[in-house]
Amino acid sequence: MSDPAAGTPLFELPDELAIDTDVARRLIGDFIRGQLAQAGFERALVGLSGGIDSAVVAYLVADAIGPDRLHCVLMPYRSSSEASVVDAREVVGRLGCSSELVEITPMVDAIFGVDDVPGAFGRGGLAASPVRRGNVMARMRMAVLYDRSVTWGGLVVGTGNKTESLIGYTTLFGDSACAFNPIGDLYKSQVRQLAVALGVPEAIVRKAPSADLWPGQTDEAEAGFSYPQLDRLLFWMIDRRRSRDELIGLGFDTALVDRVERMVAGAEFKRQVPPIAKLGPRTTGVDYLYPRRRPGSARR
Amino acid sequence: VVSFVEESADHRLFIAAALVEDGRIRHVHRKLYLPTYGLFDERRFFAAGDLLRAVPSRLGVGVGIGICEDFWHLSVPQVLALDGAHILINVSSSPGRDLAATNEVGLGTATSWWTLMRTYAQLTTSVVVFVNRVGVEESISFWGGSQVIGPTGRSLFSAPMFDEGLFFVDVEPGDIRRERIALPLLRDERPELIVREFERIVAERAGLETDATADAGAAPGFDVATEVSLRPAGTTTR
Repeated sequence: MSDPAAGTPLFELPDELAIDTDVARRLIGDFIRGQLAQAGFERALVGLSGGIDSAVVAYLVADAIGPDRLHCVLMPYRSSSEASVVDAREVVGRLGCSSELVEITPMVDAIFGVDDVPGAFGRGGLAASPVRRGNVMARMRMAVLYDRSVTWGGLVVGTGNKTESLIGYTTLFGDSACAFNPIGDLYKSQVRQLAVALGVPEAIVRKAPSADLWPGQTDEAEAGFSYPQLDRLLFWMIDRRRSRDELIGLGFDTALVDRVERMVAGAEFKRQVPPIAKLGPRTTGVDYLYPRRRPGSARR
Repeated sequence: VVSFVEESADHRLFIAAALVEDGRIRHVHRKLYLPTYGLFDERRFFAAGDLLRAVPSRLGVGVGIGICEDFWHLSVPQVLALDGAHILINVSSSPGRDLAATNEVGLGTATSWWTLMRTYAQLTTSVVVFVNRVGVEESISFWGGSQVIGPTGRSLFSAPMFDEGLFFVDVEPGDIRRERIALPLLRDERPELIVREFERIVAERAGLETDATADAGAAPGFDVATEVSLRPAGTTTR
């Protein structure tokens, strides 16, 4: 049987987004070690979904501190695809790190109910929209990770990429919650490039990105544009500071430019620390400005 | 050369670097240019220095010290060289960024710095010693890549990127002499011309003199005539 994917590139990488992956690995490795050292931790944990972002982060962490200091947590819901768990297990097997599987199904179902049996939200919960369910799933996973942060004695490493952060395709206090994020300044296409350099299993690099919140869901079908297209647009819009007219002049579709500009502006609140009403003489984030990590801040 | 934060008697905080020889401080340079843009926030916390001096070293050469952003201003290496520096030393905490694969060494910041340092070495016919920090702080990675560049622009030494180290590099003062006589750029500099033109520009920018090169109709201090009329201070509009 011939492999239908044979001979096709693993992924599409717009020229302007190509990065030097050796330098990226070096910087990220130092970053991970530096973050842990400054906080006084030696271990880290990653929520492994079976997707490319968390796989890349697991590889980067294992690279930086050794697989024995990494704990991966698989947290499927009953509707999660079987392939997600298989792919996540493949990452764990290849890295040789410790792992565990925590089903979030009872947690989520206890809230929304299941099969006409109401949960904590009463009958109304049974009709909850996919967005509400997705948000609760992401926040249950966050709760599991932060509990395991205590039992494993390690920091939760973020797995969100720059593309989804910019357009707001992330759950506040859910998948975006972490102690530090090594890939948050890489567009999806760049995460793919890094994944190949790291030797992440090909099946994970090839498969269509998905939040895996319902069967058959893919990011690109849900959003209506492809990642390479979106990454290029965001790169010119954000990194290269091109105006709307300049972006259209570069050949980007007007409707897409307008839509993405709205998404980026509308997601600003997800990227920033909530403002505190300024009342006292020194206020956190306003005029009480210290680095997160400084002498005395480490746990030990 | 050691860098530190200096608090002056009147309680201004400076980013400073000292030349220390034989157990005593020979010279303190206070950082002149404090980047406060993009990822930088220095002017918020620090005062800018007001002195730029080259000083003699016991090694028999003149030394000029700059701190990081100081060397992103063309006049700094030039003034130091004209003031007698043979060796220009820049201590830096340069945050690495831009991993575009098209970069020479995979880090845009490194290429920019090395290009500038090499240019200064050539244009001032001096030895340039670029010493850059290594390590991670918060989001920022300092990338090392320190260099010593000869007066012809040839690299005499390159430290590895991202790795700490203590390195010794021999510099031959005769090379500086040879280059300065063969390529007398410093001899031919025209500081009096530069001073005159700078004074003119300063006066024009302040609106104290008519701008000789400005558009007709441009308001005092502006080179370009704007469409919006600028009203004299004190007038109001409704």
